[in-house]
Amino acid sequence: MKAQTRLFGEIDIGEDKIITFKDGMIGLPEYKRYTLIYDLDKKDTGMIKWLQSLDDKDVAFPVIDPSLVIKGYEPFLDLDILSDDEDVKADNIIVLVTLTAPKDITKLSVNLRAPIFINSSTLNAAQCIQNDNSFPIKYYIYDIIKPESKTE
Amino acid sequence: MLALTRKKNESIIINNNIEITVLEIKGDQIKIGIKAPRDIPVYRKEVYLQIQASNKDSLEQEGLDDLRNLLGLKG
Repeated sequence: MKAQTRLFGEIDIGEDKIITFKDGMIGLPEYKRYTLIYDLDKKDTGMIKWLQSLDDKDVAFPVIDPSLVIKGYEPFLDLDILSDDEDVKADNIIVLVTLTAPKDITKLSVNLRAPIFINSSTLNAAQCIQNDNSFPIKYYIYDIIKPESKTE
Repeated sequence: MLALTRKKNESIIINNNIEITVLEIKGDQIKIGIKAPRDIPVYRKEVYLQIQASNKDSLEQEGLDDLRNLLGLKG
């Protein structure tokens, strides 16, 4: 299918690349179909991926693999949340966190309280709020990313 | 909004599969028990609103060009 995207114009998405959030992202229940776009050619080394809505081109979340910015992050996933899947295995689950890039870039943060889980074999997905309130909603990562860029 | 009066240990049923019970009343605090299918997420509203706001901020991407420049240093 053809889809309009926020940053990459019109792209062609295979049916096998459509990610389904049966409850949508939190606060956006009406948008259920997304795809993951890898931004490899914009000089950012592919760290940021885009969770692009297929229903509204302006809805595109920058997301990253949390292991790039925090060690030992193990959010809890109630496997029943991906309940349409008969066979959910922990190995199949991809975890991503949303990135917030405000005007003051030193306040760059990721949301560890509400990670996104994607079952890579069925492409069913959910954003799940963690009950453990030690996971910050704004986990600041500017200082984590910045030194890395200096050493390379 | 529908308003129902309940006493301690009384419940309401929503949609055949969700049961909400008043477990304990102590001053201005009420402990509520929720029995729902496990694929129905239940959240404290203030946390839900914070996550909603965080998602909205994430979509705005005001500092994205700066971030690209920052990461561009790598290449």
